[in-house]
Amino acid sequence: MRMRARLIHSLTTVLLTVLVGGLIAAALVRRSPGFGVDEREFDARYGQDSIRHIREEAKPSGGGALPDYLRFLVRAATGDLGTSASFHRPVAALIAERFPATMRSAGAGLALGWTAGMLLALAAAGLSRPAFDLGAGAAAAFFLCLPSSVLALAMVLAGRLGGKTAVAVVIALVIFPRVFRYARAILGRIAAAPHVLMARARGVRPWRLLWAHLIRPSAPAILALLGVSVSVAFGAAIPVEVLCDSPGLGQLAWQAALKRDLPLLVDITLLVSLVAGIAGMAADIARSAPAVEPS
Amino acid sequence: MNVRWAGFALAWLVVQSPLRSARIPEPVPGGELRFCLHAEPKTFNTLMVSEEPDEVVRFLTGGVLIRMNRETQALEPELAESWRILDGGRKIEFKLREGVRFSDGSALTAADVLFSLRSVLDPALHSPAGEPFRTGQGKPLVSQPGSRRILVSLAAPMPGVERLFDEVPITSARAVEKSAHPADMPGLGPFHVVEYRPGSSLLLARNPFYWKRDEAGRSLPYLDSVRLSIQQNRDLELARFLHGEIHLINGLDAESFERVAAKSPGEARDTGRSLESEELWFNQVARAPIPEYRKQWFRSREFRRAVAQAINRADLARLVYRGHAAPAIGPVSPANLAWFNANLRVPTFDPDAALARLKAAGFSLAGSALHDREGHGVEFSVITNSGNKSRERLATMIQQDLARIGIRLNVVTLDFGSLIERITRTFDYESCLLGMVNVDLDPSAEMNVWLSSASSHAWNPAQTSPETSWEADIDRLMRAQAVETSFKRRKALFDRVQEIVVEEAPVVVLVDKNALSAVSRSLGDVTPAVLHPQTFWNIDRIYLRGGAGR
Repeated sequence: MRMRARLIHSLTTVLLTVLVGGLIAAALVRRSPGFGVDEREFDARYGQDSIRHIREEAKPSGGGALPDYLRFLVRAATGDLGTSASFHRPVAALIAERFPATMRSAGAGLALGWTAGMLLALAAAGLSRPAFDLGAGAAAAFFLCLPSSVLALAMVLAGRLGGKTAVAVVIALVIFPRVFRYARAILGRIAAAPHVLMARARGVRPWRLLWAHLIRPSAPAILALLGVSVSVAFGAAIPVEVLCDSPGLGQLAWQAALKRDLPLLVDITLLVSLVAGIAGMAADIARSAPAVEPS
Repeated sequence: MNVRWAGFALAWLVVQSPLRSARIPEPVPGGELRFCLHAEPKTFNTLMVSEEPDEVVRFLTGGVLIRMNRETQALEPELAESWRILDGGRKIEFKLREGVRFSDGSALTAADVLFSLRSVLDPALHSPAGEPFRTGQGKPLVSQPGSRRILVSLAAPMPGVERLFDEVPITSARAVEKSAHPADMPGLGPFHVVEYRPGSSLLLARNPFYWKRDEAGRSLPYLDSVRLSIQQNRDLELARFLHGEIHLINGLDAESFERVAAKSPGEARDTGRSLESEELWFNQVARAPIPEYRKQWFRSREFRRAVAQAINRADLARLVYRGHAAPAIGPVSPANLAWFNANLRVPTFDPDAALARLKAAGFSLAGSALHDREGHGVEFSVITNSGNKSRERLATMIQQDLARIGIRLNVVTLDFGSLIERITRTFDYESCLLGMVNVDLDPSAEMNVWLSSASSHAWNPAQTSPETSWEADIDRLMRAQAVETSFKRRKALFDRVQEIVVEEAPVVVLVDKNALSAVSRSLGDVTPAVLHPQTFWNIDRIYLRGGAGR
């Protein structure tokens, strides 16, 4: 019963966050300079009649952000996500084309980043070798300091990886230090606990020690980072896909922002908020699951 | 007898051997040409093409009645085997080529041509290709006087109207219906779309029904396919060229050009002055939300001319464009062979003369700062679009040049949408630095720039009546040249327009950029031109050395 109430509470929170995020995006786009302006307005090939027609097409409705947003939500509920003002194509089609690329890159980057972060954290906590710990910590600090766009530029300059692979590698490098530092702190605390020291002193086999005394008890707390890492991965995908020229949702979002493409930007905001919200909710549920007591 | 023939054969061999070794290699059919589009195509409907990526796809896959040879700037017959101008420039009649087929094998009919022309000329459709025909003097009519003859009747004479058909696509109603699915859309060009991966690439395959043949009677195009990668990042495009992944780059900036030249000198091609120039203009809009005293400066001919005189154009060309640009002479580049006014000279760089001109106009130099008659310090901002490195450097150098005559210039970079909003709607700017491209060579194509009532009359658009006498003169001259049928008289009228623009300096034309491109050595018969599409204008003749092996 408590679990169901918790689930309903989490779902409501996610839904509200997504809706408010969409409204904020809509309001910001409408207020931004250049909104409702078509670049063709300064194209000398067009005469005044056509310029008037172009302006009419680009003209936003006079209803204001909130009524427009509500109308948009009603249409979205029926499956109509609107038409992109800059691409002149249905937003649903654009997202359907681009979302898989970002999902693949972000998924691969998350998997790679989590694997590297967890392996290094386990090794650092389990091996108890200060030099290794220091080296892994320094590597994590180094990548934590570098903005994702700098990492993406390095990939571009290296010029050896394709766009989507480069995006996945950069996302992995963005995720890895966060996972490592967080997991290392938790695992280190658990590894120093008296019962773990006792088990070690009694000669419990290393794999059993690792699984039963380190991984299982720390899993809920570490999994709580999953939701945040999904948000970080999607956030990083925007500049990284632009720089690496990967045709994903991030690149689409960037183009939509430059062109003040209201329907596209609002839809992407809703989608990304929804993915991040669901990941966060899943992590919350995992964290609230009862921790397995060490045997 | 045998000896005589043997002697003749020997002589023939002696003469032919060096000739044969010097002969241009035979084009080898096959292979895939690869280059990049710099944005996603917005539409595949050839009637509605307006942006560069769409134009590239249309150029490769579409057909036109008349094509301009980008090298000679002469018109050549395409789907029309001939044409003639009738009734003093009021009518143009095309004789259609026989046996032309779409890429799906269906025949091109006169009904298809009628459909295409009527659609393009329909004001309700707002087809960009039909814009030059909308002169406000009535809608052109299209008729079919014979089985393979099409007649376009204009409301008023339009000298040089035939050149406009280089941009008018010929298609069919069923092709337009299928334009949402480009791989199913039949076309009349040398290639047709077979695969479109949104955001990623387009694959064009050879049109098996393309009508053209080479001198030896072989079917054109030589290439089997063209792969267009959608690559917005120009640095990545350059890296891909240097790694040999793509064969062509159009519109290189000077810095990238130098990188190609350093790595592979034969692959960097500088075709000389292009039709693309960099220009600075002052906001002269009466209702602009800027201080009145600044508007007075910008309306002062002496102020504008002094600024023009104080900018070192040669340095801009040398330092910003690394010598791949030339100081601009006037509003028309010498690359426009027919219409450039050869009597104009590059304005001299002379800060002292500029200062003297300003002093004569009531300005005074106090210390290192220039002041107007009322004591206001002469300081204004220039807006330009962000992300264009050359233009940002240009603005910085102009800032330094103007500082020498006591003018303080503040450089503001804006994203393109905001910039367009300011120069076309709010007029909340003082001066603007932008690039201009003359897509069409004919002066009538510039009516929307020079007429004071036009929306693209940059410094003071959409005037109800000309606000200055010289703008009234330009209006009169432009309208006169638009209906004048004698080329000589048209040229004289447009020459005067160019002179007025230089004398009044509403637009300070800074440099004419060179047309820079990168062309892989593996390509044959590529002759870059200054006109769009620069390197692949003769796409049906381009071949890969080694053909399908490449």
